[in-house]
Parts: sequence; structure tokens; C-alpha cells
Amino acid sequence: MPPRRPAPLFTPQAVRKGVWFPLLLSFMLLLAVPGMIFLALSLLGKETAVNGWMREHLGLSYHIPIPWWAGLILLLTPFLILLLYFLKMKRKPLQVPSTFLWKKSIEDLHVNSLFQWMRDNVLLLMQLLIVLLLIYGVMAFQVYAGQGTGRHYILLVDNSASMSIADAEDGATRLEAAKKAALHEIGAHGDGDVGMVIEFNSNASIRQPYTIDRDKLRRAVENIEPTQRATHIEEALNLADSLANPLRSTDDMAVRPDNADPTKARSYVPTEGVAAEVHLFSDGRFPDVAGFAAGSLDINYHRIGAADDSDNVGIVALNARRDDKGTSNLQVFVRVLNFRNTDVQTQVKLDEMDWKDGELKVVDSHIKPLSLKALTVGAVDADKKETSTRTPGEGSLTFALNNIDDGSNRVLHAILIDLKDAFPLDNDAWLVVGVVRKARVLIVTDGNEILHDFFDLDATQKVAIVSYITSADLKDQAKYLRPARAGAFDLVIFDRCAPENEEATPLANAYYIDDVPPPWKRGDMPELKEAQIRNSTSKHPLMAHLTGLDEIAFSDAFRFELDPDKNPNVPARVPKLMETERAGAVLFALPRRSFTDLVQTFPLVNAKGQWTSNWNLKLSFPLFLRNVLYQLGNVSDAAAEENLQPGQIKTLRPDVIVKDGDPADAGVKEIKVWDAAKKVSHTVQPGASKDFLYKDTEDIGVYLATWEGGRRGFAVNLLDADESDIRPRDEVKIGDQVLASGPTRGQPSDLWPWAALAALVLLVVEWALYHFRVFG
Amino acid sequence: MAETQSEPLLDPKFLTKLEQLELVSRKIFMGRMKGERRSKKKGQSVEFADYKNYVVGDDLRFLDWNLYARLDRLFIRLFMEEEDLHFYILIDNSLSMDFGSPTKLHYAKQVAAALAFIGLVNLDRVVIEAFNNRLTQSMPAARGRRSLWRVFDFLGKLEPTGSSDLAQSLRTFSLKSSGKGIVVVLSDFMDKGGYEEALRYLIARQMDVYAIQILSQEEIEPDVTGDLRLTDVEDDDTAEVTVSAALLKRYKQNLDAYRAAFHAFCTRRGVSCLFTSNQVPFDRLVLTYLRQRGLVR
Repeated sequence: MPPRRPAPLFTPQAVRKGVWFPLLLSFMLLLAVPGMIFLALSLLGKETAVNGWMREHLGLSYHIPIPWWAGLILLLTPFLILLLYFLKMKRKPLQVPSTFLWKKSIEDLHVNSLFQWMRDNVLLLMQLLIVLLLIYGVMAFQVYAGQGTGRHYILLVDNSASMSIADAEDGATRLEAAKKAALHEIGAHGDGDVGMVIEFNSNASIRQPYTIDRDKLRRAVENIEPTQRATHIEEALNLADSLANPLRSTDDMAVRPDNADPTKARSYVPTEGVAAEVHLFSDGRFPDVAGFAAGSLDINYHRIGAADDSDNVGIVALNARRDDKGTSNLQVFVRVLNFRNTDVQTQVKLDEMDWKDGELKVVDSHIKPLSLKALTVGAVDADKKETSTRTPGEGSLTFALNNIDDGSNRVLHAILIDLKDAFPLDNDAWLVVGVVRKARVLIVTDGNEILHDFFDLDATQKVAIVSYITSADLKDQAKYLRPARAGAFDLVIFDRCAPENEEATPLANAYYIDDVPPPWKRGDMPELKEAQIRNSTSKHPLMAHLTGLDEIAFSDAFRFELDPDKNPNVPARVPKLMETERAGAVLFALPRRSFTDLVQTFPLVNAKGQWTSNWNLKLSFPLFLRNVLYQLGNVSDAAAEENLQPGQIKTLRPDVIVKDGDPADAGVKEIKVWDAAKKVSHTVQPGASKDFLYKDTEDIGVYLATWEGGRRGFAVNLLDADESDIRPRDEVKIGDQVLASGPTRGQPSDLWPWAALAALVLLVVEWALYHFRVFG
Repeated sequence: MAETQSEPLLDPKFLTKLEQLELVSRKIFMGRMKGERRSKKKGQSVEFADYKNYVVGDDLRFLDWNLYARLDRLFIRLFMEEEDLHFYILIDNSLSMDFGSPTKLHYAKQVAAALAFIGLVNLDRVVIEAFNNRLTQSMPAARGRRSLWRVFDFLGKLEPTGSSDLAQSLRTFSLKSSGKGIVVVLSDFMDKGGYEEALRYLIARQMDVYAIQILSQEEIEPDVTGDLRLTDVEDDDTAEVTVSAALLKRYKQNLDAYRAAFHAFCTRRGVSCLFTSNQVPFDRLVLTYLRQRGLVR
């Protein structure tokens, strides 16, 4: 037998031959470590934080779209393969006549190979590589580079009250269905597409500005919560319109100077907007939008909700009126609409409630039956492409209540009893009755009978505390300057006079008769002779119910330039309430911070006390003064608080208390508002205009505001016929476009799980083939 | 792997071929009984060998009276003695012989049967011994054609069993057998203790030794792949191997080296060795290879 020469252990060939495999193996195991860390962080719920950090520092994010246990199995697979390999569980036993020669051969190879225990198993490496690629494939890493080059799309999701109706598939609410459809839409867009999420109800807000990160978009959609608000889409459309062009800045190519200084270079963007797809997910229960030009927006309407669901009967109006005689009798009106296709017999229960220890207790109840006709659908003229008119069955009831005093803060609760429908939110309504607040009016005049005639009336005195000073008192600290600056008045009427300067203007609404607020001067104004009213508006609240205004004549007037180009201090779009034929406004409302300066350019009387206008002879004049008193004097309605819809801001104006000695301390420092249903309170601080603005009016019900020395309740109701008509609309009209509901885009099915599964099956088949070959 | 070998070890046609053959010993041994082989002893055959002086006591029948008449001296005529030949066949019946198709043991039995037949028809004294780690079974000496069925019966009943220990077995054999003659060892010689010591016992007895190494095709060209746990059938020793081209190559190198070492050892010590695979038809082995080696003629 020839003597065997042992091979040297560390020859370069042996090292090269033996080392590459363990090196590669170690490298692959190291590669699996980040995956393990990412998965662990995902399981611990830190995925968002990690993604935020990675996006900021590495421009990367990941998302594990498979269940956690599947991810865990996948992650453990390489270690399992390795374990099997090392445990040699796969070794097949085989009997041989003698292991003599085999052992000798292994020994020889041992000598030749540094890492014999790690034989060069290419199959193992390949399998580990496949599993690693699978792991990192499943983690769906995304790289964030640049701005996104794809299309822009905007998702408008309606979360108004009617979206809470559970008539979608599988008993889901409309909002859930809308969110699902929106998520489908996000999924249907490509990686480079830039999306935005806007939720809208009575307001609109951007949940997620333009981004290419679909995770952010998904989260934004998923975080949309239902509200009890009404629906107004205009704001959402305006937002979409303005944000449809995310690259547009106030400076565009048009203002670029010809000789731009390169050292002060700034980025100019093209004036052309970026076209965007708008996807509107709603039940369509909002008023048609007139006067909106879609422009580069391609609006797609996706109807949410069952097409024929109209199972609703709802209260759409609840208000109260005092008896004309001014007694403590109160008439309460309830208006109910039936949107069902069948007649409905129901009962309306009206509870009288009072506050006791911060809670509402029922004092008295009234029940009246009500029968409602079924909803009728008008005939459709197909040629005119008109949508059918739907007239709901209507019924109203009047309850006469006695012994309700002006300041009682009595709460009325109207409920439809014995009625179950799809939309319970409008089955009850609340009303807080009672005079709540008187206006503090200061009239600065050197004598004006006409004003006296109105403001000294008993009826006026009931809602206003009126005091008079002369124009000479305008410089008096005690009589005018300090209380005016402290916000002690709601309305100051300047009859043929004005404060000396802007510092002297009151923190209150003002009504200037034949004068102008500072900084303008009456003397600078040109005269306007013998003019006649040619144009007036009735849309402004100050002009409500006024008729016959064109019969007004006046002898003297001045002309006030309202064109901002010619009169720089004038804000744009000043409401012109009355205009003459020469297009000079004689009555207009100048905004001043949160106040309004109403300017009338003609006097009512002249210095001698003679009438200079015939307006005070017209029926419209006392109505106008009443409007001024109620609107500018912040008078609360004598019978009931005005209705407030969920989400609207409640302006609270507690009665002004002017303390003797120091009027600067006048007013209430803070208000506490109790949510009657949730039993939580918020503290509200006054704003610049001494008003208290309360914004958490999300839920329908009664709220109680308390302050030092007073309290007042106010009700939040839906009372919206559009919202109560819950039948989803197949078509909505936006601008001139009639948008038919398009199909919701199908979720693109991910095919990669099948590919991943195929890869795993391939691994198994590979092992099987390998071993069958061995066994065979 | 073990297969039941139910067919007869030798078929009649082959037997007729074998009848023409006889065993050849390169050495002349002393026989035990009168036979057909020339013995070292002078005996009573017809073939004249020599004369010797008559001493008292010699058989008067062999006096050469013609010489006495011519020379007046008494001479005794000596004739060549013809005796039988001791022919030993040692079969390894350890478990490792139970491999291959046909099994190595079956193959060894066939060779043994053929050689035994040749011996028997030539009136040699044929002894067959089976061994693994000791002598397990032995067939009493047989002579003549009549004993053929006894030989077949013995071989037929031989089963693979136990682990092998060549040295121990052959040592026992060499101590036990008194006669000298031809020894044919049929084994795979894959003994972890080595074959050298074992063969030395036979060589020391000055026997005419023939070592026939029988390996199965699976041992020569292993057809295995994958990760295997190899178990030695005899001592349950295991070896975990992952079959690769390198390992197979190394195995074949080792096998070749082992065979070469075996061959070198035998030739240096006057032992005739023959390597065969179970795929070589055994009749060809007997009629061709053994003839070439000079065991039969």
C-alpha cells in the first residue's frame, strides 16, 4: 500500500475552495437580519415610526401586506432550511457491505477541505437566496424619489350624517363602503400617481395633501370618522380646484422679470394647472352646485349606498313663535317629511324640559298623531334630460305651550315615536326657547326724531338697551371712549358724525348715517344730488323682507368710491345694499375685522331737524332698522335660539355688564360649555371681538353655556331636508356637468402572493425531486 | 440486497466442461491417501523411481532379481507414489458478502462448487470451510464424484451471517488443518483489521494459496447520490457522507489503491490473487481466468 501523504490544511486552493461557501452562507444570514428586525418592529406596531424615519433618512418605506403569522413563517424559513441542513435530518440511511473505503475517502476530503462540515451545497445557497428574495419581496419596499411623475387624483369622501346609514353591503355603513371604494381607488392607481384625500361634510378638510405615498393616503382614508353634519360640497370642490395645481405658486411665469438676477433666482412654475382626477365618494345628498367650473378637474362620481333605500321619516323643521300679544304662550311648529314610498302614521311627542343640576328633566309631554303621504315621483321628460322630481310626503304640527317665560331657558324635544327607519338621527330635534339676549345700542346723535321714534318703542326696548350721547361726547373717556374700546356695546349708530380716528372706533358694529368711518373723512366725499335708488339686494340679511326700495328718494347724499383700485383702503367686494342709477352705492357694509360698518351716504334729517328723505315714510324703513338692530346688535331671537347644525360654530355673546367705575373690565372673561349628552365641558375664551366662539358642536343635542352671572342653552339639530332624503342619487349636478355614478374601480388583485406561493412550491418540489432522485 | 438464489449452483452442461479440468498445484505435497497425484513419498505406482540397497525388513516382493543375477547384490526397486491432493476452499460468509446481484456469497458458492467438482472428479481431498469472524461451518473431507452432492448440499445451506475477521478465521484454519495443499480463499477482503495477517498464516503453512477477491458492482461503481448515512452491515458502523463528484472520485481512487496494495502484497509472497466482480460470469472466471492463473488446467 503506498503511503498516503496528508494534504496541507491551508493551501490557497483549499482555502479558496472551502471558504466561499461559508462566506456566502454567512452573508445570506446577515441579509435575513434586517428583515427580522423589520418584521419584529411591525409586530410591535412601530411600522409607522420606522417608516417615517426611513423615509426621512433613506427615502424608503416598507409594508407587510400578509398576516403576521405568515410573515413569521416566511422569515423563519431560511433558518429552518439551515437547521435541516445542519441537523442532517434529510440524510438517507443506506446499508453498505463496508464503510471502510467510504471512511477513508471522507478522511481524505477532510484533510483537503477546511470546512468539510459545510460542504459546497449550491442547492442550499440557491434556496436561501430564493427565500430571502421572497422575504424582501413581500416586505414591499418603496423608494421615494422625486415628486412623482404620474397622474394627480383627489379623493373626496363624504362623511356627513347620511353616510352613517348602514345600507351598504354586509350591513356596513355608507361611510365604510365609501372608504372601501376609496381604498380600491388608491390601489388602482400606480406608484407614481400623486393623490390627495379630502373629507367633506358641511365643511371640507384635507386629510392628506398631495403625496405619492399610498400608505399615507390609505391611512388618511381609514382615519375618516363619521359625523352628524350636513353636506355641502362646494368647499370641497373649491379645495380640490385650488389644490389641483400643487405646483402653482403666487408667482408664475407671467411675473418673471425679464432681467432676473441669477443670484436671487427663485423657482418659477408654469401657469398651466395640473390636470387631476377627482373621485367623489358620496350618496349624492347635497344640493347641486351651481357656478363651479371643473376646468382641469375630471370629476368622477361614485354613488355609495343602496340605490332604492328611502326608508326615512324625519323632522326637518322645529321652531317656536311667541304669541303676538307677547304673553308667555308659545307656538311650536314641527315639520316632518316622509321619504318612504308608503303612507306613514306616526306620533310626534314634544317634551318640555328644564335644567336641574346641569341635567335636563322632563317637565311636561305632549303627543300628537301625524299622518304623512307617501313620496311621489314626478314624471321624467327624457328629451330634456331632467332628473325626476321627488316630492316627499309632508306633515306639520303645531303645539301650543303656556307659561314659558322669556328667560326660562326651557328646552323642547320633539321625537317621532313608534317609528323605526334607516336614519334615526333626524327622528328627534331640540329647541331652546326664551329671550336670551338684549342688544346694547349706543346712538350718537345731536337730535334725530326718526331714530328716537324707532328705538324708544316698547317692542325695541324689549330686545335692546339703548343709550344716547351727542357727537361732542365722542371725545369723552367715560361716556364713549373707554366703554367703546372695552366692547361694552353691540351696535353704535353714528348719526351725521364719526369717531375722530381709527383708535376711537368702537369694538362693536357701527351704523354711520351720512358719515364715513375713519380713516375717511366726510368732507372729502363728492356730493351726489337727487339720486334715485335703482338697484338693491335682498340677499343680505340686513335687507331681508324689504320691498319698494326704489321708491326711496333723498335730497342730499355723498358719493363713496368703493372701487379698491381708486380707493386703496376699501376692501374688495364690499356688499352694496342700495345703489343709485349712477352706480354709486348709498348703502353698503364695510367689513372691519370681525365687525361691520354699515354706511348710509344720505342723512335722515338735516341739522334743522327737517326730513331729507322719504324713506322713513316707507314700510321698509322700520323693517330695515329692525334688521340692523337684530343683525348688528346681536339680538337673539325672542322665541328660540337660531338652529345650529352639527359642526357649525356657535357664537356666544353673553349680556355685557358695564361695571360702574371701570368699563374696561366690562364683559365676561370665560364661558364653560357643557355637552349635555356627553357630560363634558369646554372652557371658551373670548376672541378679539369679545365674542365667544364654540366649535365642538359635533353631536346633535342640547348644550349649556354658563358664565359668571348667566347661562344659556343652545340646540344642535340636523334639520336638513337634503340630508334626510337618504336615497342615494344616481346623478349629481356640479356646475354644468351632470355626473352619473360611475362604477367603483375594482381593486387590482395582487398577483404577487401567487408568485410567492409558486416560489415556495418550487422550493418544495426542488427538495422532493432532489430526494426522490436520491431514493430512486 | 440479499436475494434468494434458488437455482442450482452449477448446471450439468457446465459440469461436463469442468470434468476436463484438474487442479494444478505449483508445489508437490504429501498426500494422505493413495491418489492420482505424484507424492513426495515413494510408493507403489507403476512408475519406476529408483533403486536402493536391500536392508533387512524390506518387502521381498520388490527385490530386483535381474540385478541380483548380474551383480550378486540385492537391490530394491522403488516406484513413484501417487497420492491424493488436499484442496481447501475457504468461503467468507459474513454479512458483507450478502450484497450485489447476484450476491457475492452466491458468486463465491458457484466458484467454490466448480472448483470442488474439479477436485472431486480428480479424486482430490476437498475440504470446504465457511468463515466470518471464525470458522463457522466446515464440510468434512470429500473425495470422488459421489461426494459432489454433499458439496452442493453444504454450499446450498450456507447463509450470510456475522461480521468478518479474516485474521482470526484463517489463524484457526491454519492451526486446525494438518495437511498441506491448495487453499482458495473466496472473500471481499474488505476487513477493517486488514488481510495481511490472515494471509501470512496460510503462507506460513507453505500452502499453495489462491486469494479470489469478489466485489459487487455497487462497491466498484457506487451508484449513490445525496446526503447519506452509510451503515456498515457487519458492525453497524456509520459514515455520513454527502455524495459529490469529488467524493466518488476519491472513493474510486481509494478502491484502486486498495486493490493495488492487495495485489502487491500477494504477488510478493507467492500468493495468487484474482480480482473479480460479481458481474463477471463465473463460468468465464473458472474456465478462463483461473486457467490463466494456473489453478486449473
